[in-house]
Amino acid sequence: MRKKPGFELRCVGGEDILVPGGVENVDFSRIIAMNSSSAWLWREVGDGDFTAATLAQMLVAHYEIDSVTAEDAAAELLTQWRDAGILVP
Amino acid sequence: MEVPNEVMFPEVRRLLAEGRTVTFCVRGDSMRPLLRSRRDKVTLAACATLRRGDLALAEIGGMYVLHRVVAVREDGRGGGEAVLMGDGNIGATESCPLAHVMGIVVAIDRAGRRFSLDSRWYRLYARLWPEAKPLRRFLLRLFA
Repeated sequence: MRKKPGFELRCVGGEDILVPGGVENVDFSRIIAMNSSSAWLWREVGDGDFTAATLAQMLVAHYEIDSVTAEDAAAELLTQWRDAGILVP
Repeated sequence: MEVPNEVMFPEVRRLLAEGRTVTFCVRGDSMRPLLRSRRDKVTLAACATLRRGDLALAEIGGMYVLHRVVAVREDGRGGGEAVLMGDGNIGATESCPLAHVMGIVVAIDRAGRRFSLDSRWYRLYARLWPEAKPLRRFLLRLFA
């Protein structure tokens, strides 16, 4: 899957939030706040295709965590992103 | 996933300045009985001219306040001051330079229903509620 285009990840006051671009109205009750590792992954995956395994590999390489922890985290994150409607298949 | 105020409002200011509109969920009881904390949402737009009766979002002393404009005092040099008061407040007002007003409410989602500020219901409320200020303490208890 890929990131849904049109979102801008903005760092405001030390927090990362995903703001929809190009729309007239921005609804903050639906805005997505990201923790630092999610935000890092979101930037890192760019516009390309990725899977939970891709994310897990990135986490292992960057955060020096074991692969089981990374796979769990990646799977959970992917579910969150999918539920939030910020991915396209 | 609630975005903290100190993160949201600088972003709200930027988006309003870009000419976009912004919706957020209100927090706090100072706009009762019109708005209930964490339930109701407001949609704001930038405004060229602030008028008495507008619901304005302003930065006051490092805090962000969404209250009703009770007076606008223009200084004749393009600046001036706005005086605000929450519908749910008994007597407290706040004032700020007009330049600190970020935008005004253009629509409200109240208890899941959206209405514009041109609706008959809202216009009646906005006319009567400020007039009923002496009864506010009593009315707020009634509508609590």
